[in-house]
Amino acid sequence: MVDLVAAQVENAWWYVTAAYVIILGGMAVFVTALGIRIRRARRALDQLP
Amino acid sequence: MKFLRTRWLEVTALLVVGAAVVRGVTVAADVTQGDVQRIMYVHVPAAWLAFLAFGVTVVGSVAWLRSGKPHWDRLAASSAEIGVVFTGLAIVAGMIWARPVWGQFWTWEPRLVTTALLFFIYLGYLALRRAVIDPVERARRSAIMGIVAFIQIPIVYQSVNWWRSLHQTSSRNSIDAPLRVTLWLAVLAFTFAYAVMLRRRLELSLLEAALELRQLEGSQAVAGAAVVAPSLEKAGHHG
Repeated sequence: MVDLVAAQVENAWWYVTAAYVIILGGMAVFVTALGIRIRRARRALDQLP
Repeated sequence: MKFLRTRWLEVTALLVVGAAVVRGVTVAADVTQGDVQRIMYVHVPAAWLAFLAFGVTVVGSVAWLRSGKPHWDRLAASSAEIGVVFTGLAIVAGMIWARPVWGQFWTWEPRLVTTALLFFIYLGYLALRRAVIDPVERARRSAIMGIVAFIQIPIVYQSVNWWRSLHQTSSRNSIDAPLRVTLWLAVLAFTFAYAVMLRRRLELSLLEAALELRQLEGSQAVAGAAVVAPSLEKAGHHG
């Protein structure tokens, strides 16, 4: 019943696109944030006497 | 060539994730759910990666309690952080799928509730790590919590079988071969992505530990050797 309702979704691709962008974008943002944190930690280490 | 030698994991992950995405949007649509079912190819792997990440946290926690070696604590913490990210992403992707299929983004049914609990339990784990200053005590407490929290994983997994759930049961064996191959390719791709994230996060953990140690040495230089803060690196086995 639920499945039959889903088959009638007209704008399914909008939902698919949103899910893919959020998941892949989220992963990319996390990796980028890690890169920034690594750079900051390296800089903090260099600045210590 | 040097770039490929040092970044082979990142390059491989990008290629496999790219292949999984292309396959996910081009494979035949599900007969009953239509195109919206394609969300499964990112939702299921994200959930799987969350389980894997928290499993690695347990391994790191147990190994630290047994050996006291700091790299196990770093592994547990790094993997937990990635697990929280993947749990959050799995929840969001699930909500996007639920809107057209169930008619609402969220409903208080067992799989969703237990997954939300899982998310908050491991957020608590990360909060605990920030709350304890003493690195040895921090490692000990979070190792215990990392082991206890894992109980939630089988509860989440079995929630669709144990209780009357709106969420469908495992699709692994009930879908046709082309869809199953796509799902496994996506799981492989996300596993590569996890490996990349874990490597980067471990690199950061190592830097943070070095920073903590240098700051400790700096404070000793000012306050004298009598003022000694506990150090995970210097503690070795905690006994």
